[in-house]
Amino acid sequence: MLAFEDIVHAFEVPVFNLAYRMVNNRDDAADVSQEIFVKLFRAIRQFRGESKFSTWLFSLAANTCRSRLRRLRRISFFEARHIDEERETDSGSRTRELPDPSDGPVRMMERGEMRHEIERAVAALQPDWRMVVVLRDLQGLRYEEIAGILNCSVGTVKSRLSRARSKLKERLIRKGLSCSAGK
Amino acid sequence: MSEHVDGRLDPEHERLLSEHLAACPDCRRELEALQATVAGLREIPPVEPPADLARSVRARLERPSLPVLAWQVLSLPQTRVAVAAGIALVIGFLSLREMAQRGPEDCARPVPGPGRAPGKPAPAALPMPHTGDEAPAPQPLESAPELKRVGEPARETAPVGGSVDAVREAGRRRAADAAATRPAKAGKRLPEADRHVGTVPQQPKTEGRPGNAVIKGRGRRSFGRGSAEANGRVWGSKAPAPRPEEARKSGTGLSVGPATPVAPLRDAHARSLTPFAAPAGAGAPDSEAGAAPQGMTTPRPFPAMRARAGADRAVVREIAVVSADPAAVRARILAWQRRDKTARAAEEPKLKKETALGAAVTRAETVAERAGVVEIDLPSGDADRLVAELRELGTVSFGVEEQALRDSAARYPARKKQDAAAQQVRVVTLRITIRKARPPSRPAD
Repeated sequence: MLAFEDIVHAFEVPVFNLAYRMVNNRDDAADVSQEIFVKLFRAIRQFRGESKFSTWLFSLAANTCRSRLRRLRRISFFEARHIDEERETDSGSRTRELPDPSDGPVRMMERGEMRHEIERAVAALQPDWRMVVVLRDLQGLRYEEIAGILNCSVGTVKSRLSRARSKLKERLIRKGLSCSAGK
Repeated sequence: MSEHVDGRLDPEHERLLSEHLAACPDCRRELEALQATVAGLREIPPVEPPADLARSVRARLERPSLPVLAWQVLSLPQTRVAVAAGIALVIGFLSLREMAQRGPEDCARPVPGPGRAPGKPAPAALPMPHTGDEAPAPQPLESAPELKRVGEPARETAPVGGSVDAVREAGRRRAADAAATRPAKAGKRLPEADRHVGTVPQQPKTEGRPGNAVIKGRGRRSFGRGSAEANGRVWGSKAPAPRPEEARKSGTGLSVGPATPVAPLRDAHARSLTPFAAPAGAGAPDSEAGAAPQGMTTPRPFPAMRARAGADRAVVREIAVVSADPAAVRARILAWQRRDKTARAAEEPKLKKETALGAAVTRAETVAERAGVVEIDLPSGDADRLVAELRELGTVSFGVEEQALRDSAARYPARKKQDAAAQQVRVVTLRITIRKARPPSRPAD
């Protein structure tokens, strides 16, 4: 059990973040993370070392997230809409400020607007694309690892990643946030 | 461009892209926007997981899974007892319902005679045990001793003679009694409960007849009743058996077998039924309010069973068969009885269970044979065929036939489907009195 807790501590951050980005809810993410680690413990004897342990774990996590999404019928689009509303933060409740198109990206990044807008845009992606973006750009996995996790080809990973990024970029441009290209 | 941002483009594509970007400001802006987006994505800080994630995972692991939990719960002795009790309840309920659906004949079990261990079958076709040495053995009809029941109308105690006229006369009287006890609206189709009023008085009449133990064709429940009475009248001593309450007071038990302690309950149940609980002097010979025969319990079937009895016993046809070979007549009747039972068992799978109670039926039939009167329920067509066969064996005379056609399709569901035109199956109860043909009397010297 001690070794298992080591595993949990080693992977809880990436697993929880993957779950959080997929279900867009902290409580659900915690529950999904628990479920992932419980499944991992019960199925750990099935790990035959054919892939990296992290790949196997992320594969388990991705499948669990998909199942939870199907169960919750939670579409990130609605969650993204909630992000516009008043949010509870550590410093209290606050409403998001509207971005000023005249601000440069550096200023926006300083204000955190860029990050929040990107989070919202990621949450609005369809699950398959979102999964690839999270694994690649947030988790930093390689294409081959992502292909192994999602049980698809590297070409599929590239395609999904390209489309997801393009979608994010268009959304950010529409919002006037990613306008550095024109300046 | 996405691969270029990730540095995954091969040198050839990298060169081509660079050349294009140098010449295309729009694509340059696109690439810059994409790079900014990806940079923004990678700058998103990871979300801190809950501090107690590991602990909650451990707790969840130590919590038994649902199948394990279910198995543990099922393994508890209390659960086993509860499950066993539930199964017993369900079986009891289903049995009661089945009994109610079958009707009184199928549900009654023979009551073991005095001195016989309950459940121990008596040898079939052998004389039934006596309660005492002084008790006379049941006699054939010709020489059966006249037994009287206290409170029994005189006509009931008159021996049924061998003559056909006597049979007819008895039938007429029964029909008159039945008409008297029927409600005024007898011409209409009566409610289920009321319909039995006409049939209720028939049973004590024949039961009161000396030497006649009426055993219905499939009448296990009725046999239980008949057996109890027969224990008092035929097998037992002539002295009346104590009333149940007297026996309870004296603590001596009853001489009529294990069924007797149940009888008061049944009577109480029957009294609650208006059509069956005849007031004093209403004409029902065995009504508790009236002159109940001493020493004889009057168990009654439950209302549902009685309802089925009324529905099935639609036509009662009195027949007297005078034959030189009464055994052959009985054998023929029993053959039809078994044949009909088999046919019904084929139609109703539930009735296949009857085979387990075949010994009880055999005992009932034995008593019927000894008494000289056999009742058999048959569909009308089969009844006619049986009568035709009996004519070959002897002289058949007909008594009064009580007509009350009712739907008996519940008992013969398959036949109901087959007979779509009629939608009804007439069940005829043949009450057959078997008598041995007397040798021609010699002229007096």
